[in-house]
Amino acid sequence: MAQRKTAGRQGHGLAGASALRALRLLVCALAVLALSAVPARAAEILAVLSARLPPYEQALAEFRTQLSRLPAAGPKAIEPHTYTELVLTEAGPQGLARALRDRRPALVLALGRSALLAAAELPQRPPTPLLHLLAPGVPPEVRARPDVTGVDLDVAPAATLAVLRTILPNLRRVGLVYDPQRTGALVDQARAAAREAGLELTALPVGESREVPSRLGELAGRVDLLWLLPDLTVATPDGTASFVQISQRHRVPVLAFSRPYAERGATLTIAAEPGGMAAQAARLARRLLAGESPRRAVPEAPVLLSVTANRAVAAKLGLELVRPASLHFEWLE
Amino acid sequence: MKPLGLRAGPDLGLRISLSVAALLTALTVCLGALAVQAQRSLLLYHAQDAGQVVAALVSQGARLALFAEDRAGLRRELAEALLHDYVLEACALDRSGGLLARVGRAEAAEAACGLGPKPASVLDPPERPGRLEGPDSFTFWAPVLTAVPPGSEDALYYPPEPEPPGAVVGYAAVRFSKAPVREGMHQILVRTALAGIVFLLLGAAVAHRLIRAATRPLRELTETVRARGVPVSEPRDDVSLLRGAYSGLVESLDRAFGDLQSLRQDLEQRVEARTAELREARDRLEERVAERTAQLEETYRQLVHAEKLSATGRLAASVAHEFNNPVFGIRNVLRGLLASPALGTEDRELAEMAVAECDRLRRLVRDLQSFSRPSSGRAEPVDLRRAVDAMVLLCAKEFGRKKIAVEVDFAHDVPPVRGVEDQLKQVVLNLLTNAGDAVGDEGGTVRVRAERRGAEVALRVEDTGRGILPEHRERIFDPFFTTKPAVKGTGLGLSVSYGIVRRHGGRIEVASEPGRGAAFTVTLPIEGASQP
Repeated sequence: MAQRKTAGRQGHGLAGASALRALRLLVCALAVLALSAVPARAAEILAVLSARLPPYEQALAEFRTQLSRLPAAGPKAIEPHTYTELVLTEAGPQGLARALRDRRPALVLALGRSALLAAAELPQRPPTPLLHLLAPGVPPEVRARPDVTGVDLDVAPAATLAVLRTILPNLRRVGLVYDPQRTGALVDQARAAAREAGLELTALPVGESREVPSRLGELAGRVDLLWLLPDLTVATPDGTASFVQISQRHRVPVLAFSRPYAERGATLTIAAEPGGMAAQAARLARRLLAGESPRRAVPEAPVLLSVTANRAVAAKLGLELVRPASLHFEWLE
Repeated sequence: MKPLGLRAGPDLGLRISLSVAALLTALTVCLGALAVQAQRSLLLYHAQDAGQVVAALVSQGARLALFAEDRAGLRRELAEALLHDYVLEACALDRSGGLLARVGRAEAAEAACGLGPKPASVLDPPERPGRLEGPDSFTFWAPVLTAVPPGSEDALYYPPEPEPPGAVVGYAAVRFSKAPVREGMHQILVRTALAGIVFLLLGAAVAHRLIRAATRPLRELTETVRARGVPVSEPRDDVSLLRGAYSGLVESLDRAFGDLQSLRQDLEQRVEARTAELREARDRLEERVAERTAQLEETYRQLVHAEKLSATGRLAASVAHEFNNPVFGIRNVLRGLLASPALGTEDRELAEMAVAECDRLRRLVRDLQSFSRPSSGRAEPVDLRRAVDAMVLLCAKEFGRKKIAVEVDFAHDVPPVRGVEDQLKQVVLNLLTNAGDAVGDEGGTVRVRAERRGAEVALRVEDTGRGILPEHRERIFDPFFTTKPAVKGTGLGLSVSYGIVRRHGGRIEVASEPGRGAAFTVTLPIEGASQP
């Protein structure tokens, strides 16, 4: 009988413990549901475009699409976000300052180098994360700021040469013209990368643009490919025309760094893939909007590269290009 | 009036041909001038277009050489222009107009473009192409523009579209010979002249054929007019001939229409007259028809009456026959009484009177029988005196009632006539009856006379009655003509009598004056006389 009572107490005690555990689980579930059901505020994003150009507008649209596809994170990550677009060439630095003051955005997305530099120069209280996209040649002092992060537009010479070796396996000699004041560091990286890739790189310096044709004339016959770098002294319209002229005259292909140069006669271009850069920027934005410090979200190099080849020029030069399977490859008709 | 067949003035087809030829010539000259002018403009346009294209190409080619200040390269680019056959020289100048380079053919004038006017005076605005025209050449100028260098790294990657125009760094000039234009103009003139001549000849041939074909009906018409001899006054040519013929035909047609109009009016009048006559004839016919219809109706009634008389006659004859036997018995009894001697004188006289009355009754019955007996139709000698007496006897009672005295006067030498007795009796009876009717109830005299007139016997029946109206005298022998009331006469008496007398070879005549009686004379051939 006593055993039965003990057993009965023990039974009551076990039942109470089970009920207590069930109650705890219920409370936890309710708490999770309550937290997840808290309505988050939409984030205010200020998109600053360097100019009203299709590449910036397409990148912004892709960024918005990619960001909307990412899962929400943090109290300010609920879609839809509120976007404010501002074109720097139209609004000017004053307009940008007014927008920052009035809109108080959670994130500033700078599309282009001019937009990035203009946004970086403005004092922001409190500091607003600054995310750059399609901005070439980000100055080191800007890159070093704790509130700045983004995706680089420049493709590292090593990556460019690696892709180039894939497309033109028989390539041995590469020549370029550069302004040491502007792209000296980049040429150093290129030299190192060429060495690692087993290529012979001939780089001739110029002091001003009018020297480019003559220097290119010096490279004629000495190289298998002319490499047009993103150099303001070299990649002028006349400089580019000189590259194309030398290319046609000496049947040497020209490698450029942006798709429009293929339209102007360059044989092929190797550049960052815009959609991939927008997706990378969207992921960085999600982290920043989730409250992560920009210091931890370091700038990223472009992951996806794309190759554009001018079919007519390649045919005239008799080039046989190997299409890499892992890259986005486009023939320009 | 011009004699027919005489041709006057030039042929119409020839005149049209000459006019068309003149028109074609003028048209050919005008069109040729226009074509030459248009082709000259086109030639100049093409020459200038080609020159400007070459100048633009030279300026484009010289751009990099100017950009790099590469004079050798500049001459190389200028030499490209000499590949064009008619380019005399090509020059490159700096922004201030100073000659940088020149290439030219050996025969070309030295430095013509370089020593010419300053580019600023040619190119206004300096960014646009320009042109100078000399006596033997065209000089085309084109600015050499450098592109605007990118202002930022952003523009390096995404250069603006379209590329903004750059600054003028120099000029390119190309001098073209006018020789191709002159040659082209010469060819144009020759081709146009040949085309004009061919067009003129073809046009003239086609026009001639068309005019010949078009004027063929006119010629045929003219020939027809001449062949038909249409009078035309003073025909100068075919057209005036046709115009005159046409006018004459129109006049003739007008006259013919006038004649037709008058004929139509006359015909209408005649038709109206005929119509009136026909209407009148129709009215008369309708009257005649109505009259005949009335006569027929009257005849029908008289026929009915005659049938009644015929039935009465037959009845009377039957009654007379039945009377005859008793009368004969009574007469025999009376004759027996007369034979009796016991009969007194007074009684005898009475008996004799009775016998005489019986005889008279027998004669009356016989006459009745003979009246109703059908005619034998057989001719035989007839005693007219006896026939007249018999008929007078028949009429005696009627005449007595009318207080008509009958006088019968026969000549002693009246011979028998040949005829059918009962028919002649009917004639006498008809004449007596008409005479009695004409006298009427006031009383009068009826005279019957007979005499011999040669081989004929004339029987005259005259009365003192009212006579016959002149308008009736022509119709009294017509059948059914009567002036008596319908209950008395049938209108057949005289017509029947006329027919009987005519069949007997005789004739019947009448003489009468209104109010003074009438006299009918029947003339019959005597027995034994030859028939006419």
